[in-house]
Amino acid sequence: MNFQDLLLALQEYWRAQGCLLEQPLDLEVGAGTFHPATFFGVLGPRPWRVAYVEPSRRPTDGRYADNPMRMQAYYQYQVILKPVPPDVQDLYLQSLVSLGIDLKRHDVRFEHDDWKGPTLGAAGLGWQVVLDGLEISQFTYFQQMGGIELAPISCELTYGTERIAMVLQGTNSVWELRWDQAHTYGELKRESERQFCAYNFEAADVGLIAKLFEEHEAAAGQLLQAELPYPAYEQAAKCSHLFNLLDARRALHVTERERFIRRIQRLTRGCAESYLKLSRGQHKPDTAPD
Amino acid sequence: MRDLVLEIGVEEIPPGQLPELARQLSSAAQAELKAERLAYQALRVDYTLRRLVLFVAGLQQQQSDSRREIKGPPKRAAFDAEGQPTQAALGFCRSRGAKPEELIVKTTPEGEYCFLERREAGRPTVELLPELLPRVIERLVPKETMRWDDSGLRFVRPIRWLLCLYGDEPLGFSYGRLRAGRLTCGHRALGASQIEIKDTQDYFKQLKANGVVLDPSERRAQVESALRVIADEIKAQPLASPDLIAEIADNLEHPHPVLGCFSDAFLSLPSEVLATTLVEHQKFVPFALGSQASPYFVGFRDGGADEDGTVRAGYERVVGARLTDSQFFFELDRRTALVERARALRTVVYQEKLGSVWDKVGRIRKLAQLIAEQVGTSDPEALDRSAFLCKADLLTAMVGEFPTLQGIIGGAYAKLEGEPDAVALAIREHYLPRTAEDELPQSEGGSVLSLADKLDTLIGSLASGEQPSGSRDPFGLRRAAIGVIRIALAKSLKLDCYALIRRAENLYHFIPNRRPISVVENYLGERLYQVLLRQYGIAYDVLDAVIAAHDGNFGRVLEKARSLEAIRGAERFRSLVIAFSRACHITRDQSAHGFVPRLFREEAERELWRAYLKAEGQIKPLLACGDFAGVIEQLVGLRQPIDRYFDDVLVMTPDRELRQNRLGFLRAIVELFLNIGDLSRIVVEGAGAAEGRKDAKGVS
Repeated sequence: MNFQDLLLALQEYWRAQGCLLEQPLDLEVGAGTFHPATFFGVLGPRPWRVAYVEPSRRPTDGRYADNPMRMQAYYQYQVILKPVPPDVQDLYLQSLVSLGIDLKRHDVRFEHDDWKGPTLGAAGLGWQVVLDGLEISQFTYFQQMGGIELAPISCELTYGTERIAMVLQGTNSVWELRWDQAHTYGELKRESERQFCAYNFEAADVGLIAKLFEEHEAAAGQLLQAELPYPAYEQAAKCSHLFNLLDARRALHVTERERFIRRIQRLTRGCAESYLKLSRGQHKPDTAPD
Repeated sequence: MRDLVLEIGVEEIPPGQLPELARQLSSAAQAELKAERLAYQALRVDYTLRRLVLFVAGLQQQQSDSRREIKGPPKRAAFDAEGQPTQAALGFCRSRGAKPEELIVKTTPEGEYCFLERREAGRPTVELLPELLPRVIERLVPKETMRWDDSGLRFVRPIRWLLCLYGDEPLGFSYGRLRAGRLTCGHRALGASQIEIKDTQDYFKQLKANGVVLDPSERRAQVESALRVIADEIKAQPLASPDLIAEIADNLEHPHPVLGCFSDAFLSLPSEVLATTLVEHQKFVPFALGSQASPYFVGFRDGGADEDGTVRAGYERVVGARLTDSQFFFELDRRTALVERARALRTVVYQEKLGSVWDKVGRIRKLAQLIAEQVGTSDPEALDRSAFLCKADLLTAMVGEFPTLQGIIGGAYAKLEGEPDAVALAIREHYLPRTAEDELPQSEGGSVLSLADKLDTLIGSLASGEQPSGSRDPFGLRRAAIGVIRIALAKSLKLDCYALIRRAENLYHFIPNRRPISVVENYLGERLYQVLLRQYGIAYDVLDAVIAAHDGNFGRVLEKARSLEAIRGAERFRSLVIAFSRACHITRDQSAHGFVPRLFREEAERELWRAYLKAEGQIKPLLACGDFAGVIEQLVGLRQPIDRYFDDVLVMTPDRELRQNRLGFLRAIVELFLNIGDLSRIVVEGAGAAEGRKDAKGVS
């Protein structure tokens, strides 16, 4: 199965499970969790099923395209199920079957891995799903988002699409993956991977990034004051990526790192609170006729 | 009598929490069954990561009858002179719906009273269990809990099914949104996804047939035996700690070994890096060829045989990628020498009030030197070099990736850089012991460096105001103190910790609002008490006695305690304790010090003085060579003169000068005893602490 067919198959499968198919966020983010369809979607009482591909960037994970499966940019497939159906583990396993993974031939495991996204004020319990020793998904029951206790609970399924494709194609390196019949992943991405590693680890202007962080932080604060949580949230997401860049440049000491995380957390928390306040206003006729 | 099975079906529970949850299930079931007066023959709990299983064999079908007594009026108020019930008795009976003939008289500590007996017939077990079992489940308290639906339930992971059979009868109680029944599921790959169970015997048969090994010790045995078979085949030795085996066995329902192999090119990595990469991330078992690493490893899949090699190929792919990453870190690290990294520690904060790690290293070097002055060292240069380099690996990428390799990787890099073996080994060992049960450093340098590092942590943190509590100990002070004590005890070092701490005090003068150094001594004393009590089984009162003597040589404290334990049963020791306690209590809270023999008036005073001089002369050399039993025998020799002294001499005489002299003399006697300990704390018949206190009160 070519890489692009795998993404299509996941879309098909989750559409059949009643998921709305969203499109990626047009910002640099570290994970599909940052998409507003997840961040805002899991807040509040409204049932919500959504799935989408999210191109993700994690500057510190770059290895100059020398490592067979670690890189700074990749494609996550993200599913949110709210509320959580009782057979959610089976739904997930069946999605693997739909990709052609024979569960009897392979070793599929749910391994303890609780997830915390401190910048998003997110916390959940769950597993990493491990296929023949390889971590292919993160499976999380969100308990909190934006520092707010969730009700109902949402389940987040995050697929590492390249890794699953590697298992299906039997390749030992992501760079050899067939994207379609004519192109490999390496042909399409290897050069940009190298250049971004050089940027993340060496060329990125620390002074400029630190300044941008301050400015986006200030902008987010102003937008929150104006009760515009969506634009404010985008500014916070920008801060998060800039923070990741500073981290990759090792420009932050441990205590400083903590302080930056708390600054972003304050913003995302504000976004979550503002969003809930506004949406309660909108839903007023439903909940409290007056 | 029938058997009971309760299976709590849960989505994959973190294996680390399973043994504790199983223990809780067992004790919760025992407590609830007992409270409901339900007898049984045997109770056991099995588990896998997907199910907790309670099995109660021979559970009686009916609750035992209960008998209850209701207390009424006293006999003398209940019956008149003719033995007829009074109004009080009749009223009591009426209120309980009983006849006066039913009254029985019983003797209680308050006298004779009337009672009514009430019997209640036991209820059928099938009726009780649906009320009792939800309470059992509610009593499970996982370390972490979560919500998964709107039922309000919290558990470590979502509970997805409940099977409950009493014999062949399903007990359909509700729990959250679930209803218990006779359905379960088998192993994900090897069994059916829905199995209907006939009865309790059928449950165990069906689970086995559906690929689930329920008994954790059986899974462990399977893992171990599979490793033995493979070790024989490939002529290599598995490196699997009991913890790793338990973790593997608790992380699956049906273990099957998969042998894999990585490229020889990775064998140039330090063997600890190879092992940690395999174990920490993958829970794979590495193999060694003698003292060399081998490219073999075994992973355990959850399922059956890997017939077409799919799983093996997957395991090898992952290991290859992981080792590529480790090699990346290794090569990155090797570009910078440890000496350079040691200097860069200036920029790494250790603790806010205690400066950088570089500052800490400076203190460790001085402490190591002070320790070496006390206990001696064969190679002071190597010791200082290892102290200088011991924290350098904190800045390596490898420790960033595998924090558990701190020290170990520093030692390996030191060796690769051509540092002497003694230096590499001391760096490697200086974090030991990492836990209360962990191994101790074996080398001389490792022991000294470990002591220096831990003492710096203790003195620095305690002096700057940190005070660990039962639940809060962010800097690991308890662990550090126990490490110091264990090394001091095991190495029988000539180390006097208290003297050392006082000599090192000036290293900590920079701390603002510094607490006195005695907080460190007290903290070590408390931990020493705990270690000797729990790990050496010394009685608490003997510990009270020896620790009160405030001796900083912990090996010596242990020997004193053992000498006291050996003699405490003897009659002569009992009377010695009584005699000493009198001397001790009468001088407590008195400021008198020193005495002059010319003020001795009574013969008993002179006699005790002569005995004292003799004993003091003998005790000095005995103490020096550590013969504490001999010291105690010398003290025993003072018993009779002390007794006579108290019989003949009025210590608290109105003559002030005489009184001060006598108190001063007794004080000297007490000090002599304190070379061993405060014997008045030892509990012996006829000399309880309470009586001692009474004595002291009488004379003040």
